[in-house]
Amino acid sequence: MATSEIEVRLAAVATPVRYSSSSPRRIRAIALNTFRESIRDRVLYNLILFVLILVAASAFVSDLSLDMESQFTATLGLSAMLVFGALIAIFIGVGLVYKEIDKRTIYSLLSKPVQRHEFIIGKYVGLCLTLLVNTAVMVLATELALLYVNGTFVRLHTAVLGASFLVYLELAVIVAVALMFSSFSTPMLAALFSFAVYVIGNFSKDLLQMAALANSSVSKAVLTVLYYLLPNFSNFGFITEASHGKVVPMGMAISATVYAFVYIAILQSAAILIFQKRNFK
Amino acid sequence: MTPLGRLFTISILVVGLGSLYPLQQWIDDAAPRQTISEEKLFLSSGNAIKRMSLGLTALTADLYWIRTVQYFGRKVIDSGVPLSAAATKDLRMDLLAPLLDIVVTLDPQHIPAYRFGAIFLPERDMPAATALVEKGIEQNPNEWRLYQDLGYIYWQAGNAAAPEEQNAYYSKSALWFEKGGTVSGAPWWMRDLGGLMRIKGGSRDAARAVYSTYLASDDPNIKAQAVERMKQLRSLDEVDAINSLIARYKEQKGECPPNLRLFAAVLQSINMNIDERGLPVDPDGFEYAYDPQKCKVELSLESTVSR
Repeated sequence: MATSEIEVRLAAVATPVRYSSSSPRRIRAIALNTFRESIRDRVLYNLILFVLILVAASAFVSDLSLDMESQFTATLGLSAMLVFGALIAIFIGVGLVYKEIDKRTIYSLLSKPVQRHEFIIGKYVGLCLTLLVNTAVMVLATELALLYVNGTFVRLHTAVLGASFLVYLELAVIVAVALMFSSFSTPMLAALFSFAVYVIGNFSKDLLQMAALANSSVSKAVLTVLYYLLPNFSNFGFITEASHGKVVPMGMAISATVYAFVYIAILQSAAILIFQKRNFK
Repeated sequence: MTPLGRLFTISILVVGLGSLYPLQQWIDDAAPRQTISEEKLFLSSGNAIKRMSLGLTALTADLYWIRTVQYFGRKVIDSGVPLSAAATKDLRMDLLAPLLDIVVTLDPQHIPAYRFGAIFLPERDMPAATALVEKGIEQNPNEWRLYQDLGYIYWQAGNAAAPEEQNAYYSKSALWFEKGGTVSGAPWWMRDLGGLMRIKGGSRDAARAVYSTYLASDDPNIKAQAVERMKQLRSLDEVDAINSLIARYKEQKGECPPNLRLFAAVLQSINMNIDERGLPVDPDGFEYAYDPQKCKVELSLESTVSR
């Protein structure tokens, strides 16, 4: 990395730190810097691809989907939101810590009055902010595409809004998973682990079914523990229902939010504890 | 990090992990999610999907095949009926034919898809079933199994048709069995079945001959279906045998027999199964239902043998 870039990065982080004594302000400074960094890394360019896919789908899908343009547009929009978001969460998330260590900017950062846990939380919040902007633009694009397809506001608009909130919660958990793995592993392994957790998390209902079918009591116990321990992404899954115009029930929104917060707290705590012990030599 | 901060972080971790179980239970116990009817396909044209698969046609075909099997399986599991063509014939499966058509359009050599359609489609969509298997024969002229399946479909249609239409179906069935018999590697009994269809298409002998050929199938679905049909045929023969004994008894005594125990020894001598109460049982072990008023025996209501 060029020295000037390091200086710019340091200045962005160091400047607020110098004048802010409280922990939340230091976390905010790191988060904003992480957000700026992802903008500089052209992460949001994926939005162009997303909009192109959505426009193409809205324009041409009527020939293919037999009077289901609205449903298709909603499903495509929400699914793309999840896929693009998960890719960003995993591939950017796993590099958040490693990049700072690899480029040795972590030494400068931690030599300032910045605590390690503030660094982890700041990085997490920064990437969540990036994903929030990303998801918000995608929601807007999907809503506009639905407006174009239907010519007016329909129930699907509200349904998409609710489902996209759950998609965002799921992405926030994925970021926490990726960041936890990146706190002790290389980006390659962290990406692999995060992807594995993402896949297993989408099949966690099957773990419970497998436990019910298992003959051995040990397998039954292990599978049941895994079901409760691993993130259960089906708690956030509402894309199919939303594409049929169903609005997320309040109970589900609340339980999913509580679940996401608890899980993020667990993963962040684990990441902080691991990162505290980490030797950068 | 101060010791207090460290303790706080560990507490969050422990409390968080401890709360996962009740939290997930709370979510799982919440009102069950509304089921969404999925009797729709976003993309119904196999050719359009083929173009969109960008060269990954085989993979896309496999994904659609998995989707087909899952769709079918979910319907069967949700209904609670056993897995057989007869049991599942009343289940609504609007997407089965289009899904299978997509699979074989993407992968014309996907023999399991043609054969799956040959078993489960005829009773709900006969034209779609014949079109699917004919397409299979067109694409795979050397697969004698597909000729067998098409012959089977027409034979079944003949059995279900009005008497004046039966011969036309049996002729078609014979034609496909005979055509299949000329394919290199086809077993000898293909031609035999062709002849049998022409002579006595609707008889039980023909049925037994057809289903016997499927007993050796590698496909467990096909084999299970054949086993079930063989049991059905056996039960039909057994009911006829018992009813003829009852008729003879009535002729001699002038009244219906009080129960079927009287015939236990005779029935056992013709290889029928008799339970510990001395009553004849069907191939699944259920006692035949005897009505002394009507002087008639039939499968009991509890019986799992196809009717």
